[in-house]
Parts: sequence; C-alpha cells; structure tokens
Amino acid sequence: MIQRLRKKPYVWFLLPGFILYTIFIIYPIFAAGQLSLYHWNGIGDKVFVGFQNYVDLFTNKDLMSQMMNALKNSITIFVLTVCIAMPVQITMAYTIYSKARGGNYFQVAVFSPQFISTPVIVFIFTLIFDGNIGIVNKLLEMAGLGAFTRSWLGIPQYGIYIVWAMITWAGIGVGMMYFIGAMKMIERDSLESAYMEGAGFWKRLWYIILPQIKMTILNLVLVSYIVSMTIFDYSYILGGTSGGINRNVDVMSLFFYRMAFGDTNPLGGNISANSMGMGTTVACVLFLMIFVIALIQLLLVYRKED
Amino acid sequence: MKKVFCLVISVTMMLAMLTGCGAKKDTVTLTIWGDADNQAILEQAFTEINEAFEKEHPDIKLDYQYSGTFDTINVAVQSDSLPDLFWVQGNKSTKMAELARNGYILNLDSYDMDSTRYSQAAIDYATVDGSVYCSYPAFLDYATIYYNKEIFDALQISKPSDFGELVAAVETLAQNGYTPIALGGKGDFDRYWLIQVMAPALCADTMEQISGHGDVDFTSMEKMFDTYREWAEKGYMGKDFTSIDAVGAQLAFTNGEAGMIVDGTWNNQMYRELNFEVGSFAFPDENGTRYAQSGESNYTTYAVAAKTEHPEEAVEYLRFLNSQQAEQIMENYVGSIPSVKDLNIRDDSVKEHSEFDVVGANIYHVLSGVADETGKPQDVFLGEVLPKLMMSEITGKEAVAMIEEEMNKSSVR
Repeated sequence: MIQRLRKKPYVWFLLPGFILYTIFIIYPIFAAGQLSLYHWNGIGDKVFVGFQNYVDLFTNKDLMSQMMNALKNSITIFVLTVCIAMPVQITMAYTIYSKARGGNYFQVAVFSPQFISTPVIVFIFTLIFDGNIGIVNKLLEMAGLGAFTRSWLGIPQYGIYIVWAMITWAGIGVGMMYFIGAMKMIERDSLESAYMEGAGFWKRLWYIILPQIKMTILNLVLVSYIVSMTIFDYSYILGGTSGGINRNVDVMSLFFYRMAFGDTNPLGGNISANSMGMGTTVACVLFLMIFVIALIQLLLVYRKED
Repeated sequence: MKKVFCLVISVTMMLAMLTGCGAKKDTVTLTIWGDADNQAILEQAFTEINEAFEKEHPDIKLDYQYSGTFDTINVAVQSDSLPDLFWVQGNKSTKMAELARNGYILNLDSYDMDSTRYSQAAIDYATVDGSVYCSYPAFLDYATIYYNKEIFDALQISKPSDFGELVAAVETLAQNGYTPIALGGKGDFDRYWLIQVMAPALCADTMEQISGHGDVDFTSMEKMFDTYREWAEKGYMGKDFTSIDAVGAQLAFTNGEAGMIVDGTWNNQMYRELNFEVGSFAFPDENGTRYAQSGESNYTTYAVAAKTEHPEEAVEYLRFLNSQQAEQIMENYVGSIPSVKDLNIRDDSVKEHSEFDVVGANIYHVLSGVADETGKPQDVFLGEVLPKLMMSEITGKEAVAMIEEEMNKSSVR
C-alpha cells in the first residue's frame, strides 16, 4: 500500500482535502439521507419508517401543494435570471470588455452590492419602497400622485418578483465578472478580423463573442439554477417562515426550513412530531433535484470538451 | 534562632489552615438563556432581577444571555448542550412536555417549589404529567385594543362598551379619513391578533363545542369570519394592510393615522411612552361583556436543564423568579397584568388592561387542542384561512369548511 502511494505522491496532497470534504460534505449528505428514513422531531426516540416520509411528501395534498408552489417560485427566479438578468450581464460585460469610457467605474459600481449582506440589502430596498418611509412614495406624493402610493415591498401579487429583483440587484455583478473573464480569454485576432470585415458592435457580440463563451454561459445557467433552488434569506426576511401571504415568496429552501424548524411560534401550539424526519426528506429531494441537473450539465460539458 | 524560625513557620502554616477553613464556598456560575425575541421589553427588568439575586446569593454568579429562541433551544437539545436554565412556554406549546418526558429538563417535585401564591391556571402551566418543570407564571397577557384618545375626543367617540358601539366607532373613524384599526396583514401573527380578540366575543359557543370534541355548530364562527372579511374589504384595517407588517401598523397608529390598533398587553410600555394619550379596552360582545383571552405570560417561566452541574443553585434562581420581589421588579418595568394578588399594579394603563369581565378561550389554542400529525386546523387557520379572507378569496362559509375538513382529519377529535 505504502509502496503504491510512494509511486503516486499526489495522493498525499489530495488526502487532506478529501478527508475534510468527506467529513463536512459527504457525511452530512448521508446522515440527512439516513434521518429521512426516521419519524423524529429532534427530541426523544427515532422510529424507523423506511420510505414513508417520501410517500407522505408526495401523497399528502397539503405538503405537495406547498412543495409545488415553492418549486414554481424557485423556477420563476431561475427563468427570470436566465432570460433577463443573464443577457444584461453579458451586455454589461461586453461593454466593459470593449473598453467603453468609464468602464472601470461601472465595473466596481455594479459589483459592489456583492459586499453588502442580505438584511442590509432588504433594508436599502425598504428605504426606497416601504409604504411608510420609502422614497418612492414620497416622490409620488410630491408629484401629486399620492393616490398611487403603495407598500410596494409587500404587495402579494408581486412578491416573488420583488425577491428576484433584490437577488438580481445584489448578484448581477458576479455573473458579469465571470463573463468579462471569459471574454478576456478570446483571441483578439478574431475580433479584429471581424471588425475589418465590417462587423459592428452587436454583430461582433453575436457572431464572435457568444459562441466562444457558451461554456461559461452553460456553467452560469447551472449556478443560477443552484442559487434559485437554495436561496433562502430574502424570502425569509420578506415573508417569514410561512413564505408570505398565500406563500407568495415561498421557495424550496424556505419550504425545507419550515418543515424542519418552522412549527414553533409565539403562541406555542402543537410541535410537529416528525419535523426532522420530514425536513431531511425535503432536503434529500432538493439535493436530488440539484444533483441530477448538475450531472446532466457536467455530462454536456465533458462531451463538448471531448 | 532555628527554633524561632520553626515556630514562625508553624504559626504561619496554622494560620493559613485556619484561614482556609473559614474561606468562602466556591462561586458557581449559572448560564441562563433569556427570551431573545423580547429582549427590548425584558432587559431592564432582568438586569435588576439578576442584580438582586446575585446580591442575595453572593456565591452564585449569573451569565444571563438573550440567546433563547425556538431554534437555539432546538439545536441545544439535539446537540445536548442546553444551558443551566432557559425560558420555556409551559403548557402553551407541547415543547416543554416533550422536553420533560424525554428527560431534558429537571423535575422540580423534590425541590418543593412554593405554589401557594398562584392560580390553578398558573400551576397547570408549569406542570407536565402531574410534576412541576418550570417556575410559575405571575402575569397574564392578552391581545387588546389600544385607541388614540385625542382622535376619539375630537370625533366625540366614547370608549365602546359593546360590539355595536365598536362598529359605530369604526365607521365614524373611516368616514373622517382615519384608518379605524391598524393591522399588519403581512405576517401570520400580525394578521391574527384581530381574530384572536374577536373570537371569544363573537364565537365563544363554537370554540366551546370544538374544545368539547363533540358536534360543532360553526354559525357564529362563520359570521365572525364574514365580519373580518367585510372589514378588510371596506379598508377598515388601512390601505394596503395586506402588504404591511406589525411594525408598519404600529407606525400608522403612532403617527396618528389610525384611531385604534390591535396589540398585546405585552407592548403596554411602548404605547405608554407615546406623545399622545392612549387608552385601551377589551373587545366587547353585543351585550357589553368584555373579553380577555387565556394566556399566561412566559416572561418569568424558566426550566432547569436535567444535566446541569448545579441543580440546587439553578432551582434557587427559579425560587427567586417566583418571589414577590422579582415579580414586582418585572411589574415595575413591563407593566403586565399580575395574576398573583400581592403585586402593586404599576399605573392606570395596567389597571385599564385589568378591566375585562371574562377570560375567553384563545382560538389558536382551541384549534391546536384538536390537532394531530395528520390534521392541523390551527395551521390551516393561520396560513390559509386568514390570508384568503383578508384578500376576499373565500367567504366565511368556505373558511369554516376548510377548518372543519382539517379537523376531521385529526384523530384527536
């Protein structure tokens, strides 16, 4: 064994990372998988129930309705990000890459919300859109449009779009940086020849840049999918554990949190006897939903590279 | 010289031994998790209570942290790292019973906690399966209606003495451009408080039948839900109340935009400090009977972790919390309604909170009482029925049908 390891010294370098990854990533996944086979709320004895929690999750009308609603909202965030935010990120990256005037300032300004924590971002939006203290309503009142003032952040019909707007405002610079990085790896010769051939600003983007950064686009589509499935804080801050009125800002991670920890409240009430069991079941389903898509994406990438 | 030296050493050693014999006991430090969500209300009171306790017990030091939330206590239970003492909700939830039955908290029967000053409801609060597990509650809390006396005086509205007068007051306020009853519709509990105050006055019979586990006539509950929906439709809770939270509602009241607000007696201190005069009244029924809702306050109820290394000292802290001295400090700062008779009520605002005729049932607890794992009417009521009513998506009839359907799933019924 030692002899074999001597022949492969890189294994020693991989070992610390492998051990840490196993303890902190692999083990919790298997532990959650194991817990999902039990009826348990974190206190008292665990009762082994096999796959009953999974059966309950997919057959209970109320649970299924909550999960589908949360999934619909998570998918909405994903679709809006890919269809609206990503083209904007590419355009901004291309503008900076093309050395437009003020590009560096623009780059820093767009990326800077990344340094702000979520509660502060929500607070900033509150200062702008709140019904009582928001500047938007003050401006409307000053313009004599007081009848149109609303408590914008809480309008139930727009809930998930408000969540998406905050996520996008905070994170748009990150994707942009990825695209700038990808664009910088493109050979300038091809762009210069296109320029010589008479291709304009947008044609160069469409025919030269986009085909050469499509792997980055694919990767960021996957990252957006993972983010939309795992985002939690905005919905929690805006809508609480229940996910807002009619669960209008509910997302998959919040649904998991509600199942695992959300059955307690200021008035007490009944504590769910299976909060941990059902919570870990939701977590496992969520993990599979992300894992399968990530696997497909990886296969696509490797096939392309081959 | 040698003899003198030996004598000095011997005397010194003897004195050292004697000093050691008379030394104070080792100081014990108790870690306590206070109610983090109510730190703003409780901090001054607990600072003084803890100082008084440490003065009386110089060998016990307190490390009092506002770390107790539902989540931190859950995590501490699962990781077997509970502090020596932590706040509990008694019989308001099934949590303390679960902790007691699984051996996480100390059974206080052998410590002889003095219950003579407390009502049966307070003793029941601290009891699980016939044994005491936490300090006894000394205060009551309920949701009430605060009103702006200046607006009421200007519009010549008198303090409503029955439901008819309350409806008339609401209509007068609306006609004069005020929000009659500020309510946050955004959060589960923000939107719930109005229904909690309405329920004992308007559908006590339905709640009694639900609690009795027999046949239920939902007529009065349906009527109450229709009133809630009608008030929402008419804008009596404020413009866009569905999109503002409790803080937004409080802001509308404190800005003088709203004539009334539904809030807890636990927030009495906040309303007392406003720059206009605030009154309060318990919700009246059609005959003028005024209702509070059942609810012992958990401000002074703490349990001891079973694995504490200092059970005697921890129980001593519970005894101190149940002393007249500590409860009076709490009353002086918080202004709650005492359920024990030997406390001096802080001021008139607390006396006003004590002006109710009947302690009615708490609708959330009534529905929780017929819930099990498969049927949870209290969750449907909070998460589905109330939002849909205030958005006018369902009628009172459909609302009771949803609650009844969920109740029928439960084996408890």
